[in-house]
Amino acid sequence: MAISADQVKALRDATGAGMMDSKRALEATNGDLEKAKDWLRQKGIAKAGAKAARVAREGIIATYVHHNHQLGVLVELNSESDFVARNEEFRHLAHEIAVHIAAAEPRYLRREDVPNEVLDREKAIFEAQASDQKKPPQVVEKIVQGKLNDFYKREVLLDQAWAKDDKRTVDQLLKEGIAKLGENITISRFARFKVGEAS
Amino acid sequence: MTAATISAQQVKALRDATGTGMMDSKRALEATEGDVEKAKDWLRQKGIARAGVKAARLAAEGLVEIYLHHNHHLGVLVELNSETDFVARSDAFRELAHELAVHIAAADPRYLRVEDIPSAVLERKREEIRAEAIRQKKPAAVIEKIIDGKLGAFYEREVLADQRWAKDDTRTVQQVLADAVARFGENLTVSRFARFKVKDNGETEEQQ
Repeated sequence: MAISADQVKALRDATGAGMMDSKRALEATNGDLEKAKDWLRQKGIAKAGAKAARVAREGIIATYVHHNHQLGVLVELNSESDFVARNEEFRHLAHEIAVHIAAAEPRYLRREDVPNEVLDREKAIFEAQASDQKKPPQVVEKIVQGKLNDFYKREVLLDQAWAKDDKRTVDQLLKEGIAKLGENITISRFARFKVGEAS
Repeated sequence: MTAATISAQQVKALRDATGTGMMDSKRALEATEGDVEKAKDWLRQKGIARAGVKAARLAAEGLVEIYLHHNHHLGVLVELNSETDFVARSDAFRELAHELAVHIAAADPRYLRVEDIPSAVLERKREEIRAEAIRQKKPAAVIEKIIDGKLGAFYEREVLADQRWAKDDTRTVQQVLADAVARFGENLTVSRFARFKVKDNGETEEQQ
C-alpha cells in the first residue's frame, strides 16, 4: 500500500527511527501510526535512534575462551550508566557478542575501520573479475558495490549477521539492546586470538 | 618468468594461505613473478580462490589464555606459543599462560618487546629525557648515559619482556620465560596480548 511522506515524517518524529525503518513499519501495519510505533518497538528500532547519539562510557569487558584454549575473545561493551552496565541483560548481551566474535571471525569493528589499502585491494579484484566478464561500466560499478557489501558483511562486526539468528545484524542487535535498556550501547573494541595466527 | 623460478616453498605458502590446488597455485605465482600477496589476488580474480578463506594451516602450537577481573572492568587475552602440542597441553604450560595473563592485568604493559615501541614514541621519550637533563644543567658528557638509564626504566615500566614479574620481582618476565624454556626443553614465546580496561577511552592495546 502507498505510504505518504507525511505519515513517515510523523512516525519518525514520534520515535526517532530512520526513514526506511519508519516506512517499513507503516507498510507492515497498513499505515496505522500507533500500530507502526508498536511494530518499531517490537523490532527494537524505536528509541534506538534518539539514544544512539549519547556517549556510552561505562560498561564491561566480556571474554570467551574455547574449551581447547586455541581461541579467545575480548570485547568491551559500553553503556551510559554503571547501573545498566551491572544489569543482567546487558552482561548477557556482552557475553553473546563475545561468542559471536569467536564464531564469525570479524576483522574490523566498523566500516570506517577498514584501512583504505585493504578496500582498494578488494575493489581492484572485484573490478578485474567484472571486466573479465565483459560487462558494461555501469553494471561493473553495481557489481563492485554489491561485492563490497558482501565484504563488509563478512569482515565488519557491526555488519555481520548475528550468529544465532541471521535475520538480524549485530548492529540491529545492539539497537534492540538500546531500546530494551533505555540507554545508548556501543561496542568500543574487540580482540580475537587464534593460536598460530600471529606468526 | 618460467616455472623453474617458483620454489616449492612459495607454492606451499600460497596453498596453505588459500587452500587452492598445487597447479593453480603454481600458475598464480608464475603470473605474478612469485609475489605471494599478488598471487592471492590473482587466484581470486580468476575465481579460483574464494574471498574470506582463512589460512588452512597455522604455523604455531600453544594456547590462548584469558583473565577477567571479578568486577568485569578489566580483561586480558594472551597467546603463549611452544614448539610442540605436547608441551602446549601440559598443566605447567597452562599455569604459565595463566600467570602471564594475571601479570599483564596487574602490570599494564603497553608493548610486547622493545622492538614494538614505535620509533616516534621512542624518539619523543629520548628528547624528553634530554631536555630534562639539560634543564638540570647536566654535563654534556653524561647526557647520553642518563638517556640510556632512563630509557631502561621506561622499558621496565611499559615493555612486557622487561617488566618485573608480578609474583617475584627479582626476575623479569623475560627471565621467567627463559627459566621455563630450560624446564620444558623447548622454545616458548609470547606472540601477542590485549588488555582492555573499561574507560581507557577505547584505545586498543593489542600487540602483535
